[in-house]
Amino acid sequence: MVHDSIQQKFMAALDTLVDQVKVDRSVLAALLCGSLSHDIVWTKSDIDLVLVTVDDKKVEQSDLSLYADGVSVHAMLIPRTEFRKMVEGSVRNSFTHSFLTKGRLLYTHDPTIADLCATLADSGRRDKQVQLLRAATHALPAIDKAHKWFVTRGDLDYTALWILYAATPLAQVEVIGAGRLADREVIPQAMLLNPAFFKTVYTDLLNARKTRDSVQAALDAIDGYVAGRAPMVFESILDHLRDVGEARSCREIEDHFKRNFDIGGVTTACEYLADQGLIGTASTPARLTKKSNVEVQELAFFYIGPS
Amino acid sequence: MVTGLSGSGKSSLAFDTIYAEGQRRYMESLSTYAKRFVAHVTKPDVDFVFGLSPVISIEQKTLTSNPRSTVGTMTDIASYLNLLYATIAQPHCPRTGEPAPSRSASQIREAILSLPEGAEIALRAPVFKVYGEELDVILTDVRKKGCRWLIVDGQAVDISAEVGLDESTVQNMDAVVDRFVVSHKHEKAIKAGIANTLLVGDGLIQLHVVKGASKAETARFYEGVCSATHHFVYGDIGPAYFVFNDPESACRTCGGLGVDKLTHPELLVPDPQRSIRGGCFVREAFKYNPDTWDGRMMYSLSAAIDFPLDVPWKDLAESARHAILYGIEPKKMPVRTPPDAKVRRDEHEGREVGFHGIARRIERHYRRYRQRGEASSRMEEWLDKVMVERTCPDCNGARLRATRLLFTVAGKTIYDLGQLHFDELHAFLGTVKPTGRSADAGRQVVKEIRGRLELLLGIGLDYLSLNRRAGTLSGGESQRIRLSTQIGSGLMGMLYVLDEPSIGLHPKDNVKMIATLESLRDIGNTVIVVEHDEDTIRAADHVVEIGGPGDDRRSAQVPAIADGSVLLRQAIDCRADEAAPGERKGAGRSRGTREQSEVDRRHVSARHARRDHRCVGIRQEHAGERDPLQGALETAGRHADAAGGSRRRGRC
Repeated sequence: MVHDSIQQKFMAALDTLVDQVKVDRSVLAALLCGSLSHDIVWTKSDIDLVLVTVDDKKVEQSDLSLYADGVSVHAMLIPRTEFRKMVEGSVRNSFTHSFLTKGRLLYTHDPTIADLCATLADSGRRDKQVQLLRAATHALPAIDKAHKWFVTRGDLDYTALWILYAATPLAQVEVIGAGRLADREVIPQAMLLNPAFFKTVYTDLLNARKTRDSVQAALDAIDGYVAGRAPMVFESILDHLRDVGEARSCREIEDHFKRNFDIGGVTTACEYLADQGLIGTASTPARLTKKSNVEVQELAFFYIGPS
Repeated sequence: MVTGLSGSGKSSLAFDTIYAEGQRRYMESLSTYAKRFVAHVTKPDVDFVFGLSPVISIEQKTLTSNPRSTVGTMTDIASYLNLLYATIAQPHCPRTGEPAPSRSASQIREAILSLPEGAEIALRAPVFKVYGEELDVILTDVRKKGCRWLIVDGQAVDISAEVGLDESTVQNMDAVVDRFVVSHKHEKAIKAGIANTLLVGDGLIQLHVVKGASKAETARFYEGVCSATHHFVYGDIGPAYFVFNDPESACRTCGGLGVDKLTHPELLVPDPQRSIRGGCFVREAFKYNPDTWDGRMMYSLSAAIDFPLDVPWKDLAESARHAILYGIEPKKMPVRTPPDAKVRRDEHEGREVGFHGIARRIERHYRRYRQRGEASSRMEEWLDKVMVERTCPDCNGARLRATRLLFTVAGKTIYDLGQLHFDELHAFLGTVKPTGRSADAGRQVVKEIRGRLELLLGIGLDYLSLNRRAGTLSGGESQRIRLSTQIGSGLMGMLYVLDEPSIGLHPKDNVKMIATLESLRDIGNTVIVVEHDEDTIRAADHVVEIGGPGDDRRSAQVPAIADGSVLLRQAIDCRADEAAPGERKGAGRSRGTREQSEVDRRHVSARHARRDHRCVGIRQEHAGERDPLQGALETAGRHADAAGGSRRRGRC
């Protein structure tokens, strides 16, 4: 009931503001984003509003805090060309993409903006692969830390904390893997898709008393979860190493993924794949600096699966 | 003209005193802020220098080893050519080669707005494959520029979804950059869209009427603004479009150098008498160590294709040498641990793995180095050790992206013109008749280029071409090019200081060089030349002779100031005297002592040169004006007399 009244208050404020903005010839479209567009608002919420402006050197891209009928409005002024680049250029399921996709077009004076917004929900396989790799790579360091604190110190609380850190990227893997649009608040989405796993690694760790067995179970669940999905989430790394055939240094692999997919930090994923026996570990000669006169060995990886 | 024995202080006077002081005073005129960015110039050890003009030194040395510097950039003719191509060149369609129009962004906008209100138009930008790059790199690049849809050979492809494009079959790609409903109220959006498309399309736009216009209107629109088949139009093409030293215009493979590097087996194996185990390769390229992965790979390769590691490189079979350098791709070999490895590692033993070769690995590192756009002298040094240059396989030495070579003037690209010898280029430009709206501007540019070429032809450089790398020029050629550039600049009242410009010149060219110096003088400049050459001395208006044989104290003074021809006459007499052996013996020195004395004398005179110079100047008088430097010259004589120095005329 309370939420309804807040929602109504916010909507009224928004309507008033949009009525004002609509007659501004330098604003082509208004897109409602954030909680008010797809979630429940509360008293401390604000309204996230993307205002697409005309392309003019006197109209710059900027953020503005507005005040409408007692409600704070976070207005993002984005010129049309930049808005177009943002919509088309953002990788599907990235934060920007998710932010815009969950939004609602309030009005537009330019029909091509409406067409553009209509394509936001489309999800592509290439982007999905990139985002899966990014999410899984993000999860791995936290999982490693959790294992380390469990094995070396037996600190259940700190181990659990690291597992919880890993829960968000793992939830992204779950949601993106299922072809859904991942929110910023992704764990509740993932819990609907894989309740058993997220109960073990998230709900139980938060709500139940932590025992060695429950933490070990969470770690095992995570290991099994990642291992089971490794060929899928790390597919592009395996593909790359299979294509090149011989060993490649970490720097070469990083460079490749940065140039080809605009993604960094894949060395962590390579180390994981090597631990799993999916790729082999090697080394290549390297120099630490441009002026080094000593040669060291740099970590390298090679494909060991079937061609 | 400053002449005299070696070591007498000629260059100290011309360069370390007059030029250095002139430069220092120029630096003093700069603002404090600007001075922070220029090297500090120390004050020459001189009491005063009177009546200095702005000074330029032209030394005889290869000007630069920068591979980006060419004769064209040195002479500024390259800049004029760029302007010429931006002004009057005929662009062509990148796909069919048919003529394509070049318009300003405003003209394109006007053309779009001439379509019926409500028509829908898409702006597309051609996307070109990059030599040696995977398609993923290009797709990621296009995506970062804000484009999600590509038209690949006529089919719309969503980049966010596509992972399986067959690179070998893809011919044409166009990125959909923007889409509009034609209306005057969207004029600004159309303007921004055109600018963005030109950015993505590297100066090219493909216009595509989606709907809302009749067939006749569409046909009329295409005919008015685009190329016939693919509807391309070049937009806002300026001179920078043709600058190979601009990263946006330079060939993507060689970065505007025109050359690529390739590993050379003979450089990689400097001592073929050695074996692989004995270190036959350049150490940084490969050093056999059984405890490293590289060592393991080499041992595995030797086992796989059966060659010994202890046999001299030269005795290995050709197939084995090829496999070591260029790999066994696509075959694989089982991993083996060398028996001499200190640590036995069984992991991966027997696993199949590929080997691409040592030469290929270096080339891969080279490509990554180029892609990162880094410049490291140490890296270059190392690459030069094992790699040789070859013409860039992407641009074929043109240094520019392919789209720049679609512009022609009288059927020739900017690269073609740069390949012509100066005499051929001069003749060719004589045949160019600019037409159309930019004809007047084009004629002016052609005239300027021809004028500069005439200067270069006048100093005997007809055999050079604009594309010739500056680093490959001789010192004399570099100096003459700089001279011609100075003449071309048309500056007056300057003071030029030159160091032995005649060195290395054929007598025929020497005459041309002297004529060039006279041209510099004739347009109202002062030229100080340090020289030994008889013809050059003879051509001088004034000659200052410094030092003389046999007397150390005189070496740094000014014993002779004369008209060139007078001094020469006396100098030749003197040379005959010097040649008389009796007189040398009369000096009471043995040959050995004399040689030793000469070395000592140079040190002494160099020291004296810095201490004893007073003020010396030479200047051509113009229109009866009294030259302040001539006055200074006379003052110098008085100083020399007052100091008790001997001011001799006509003695060497």
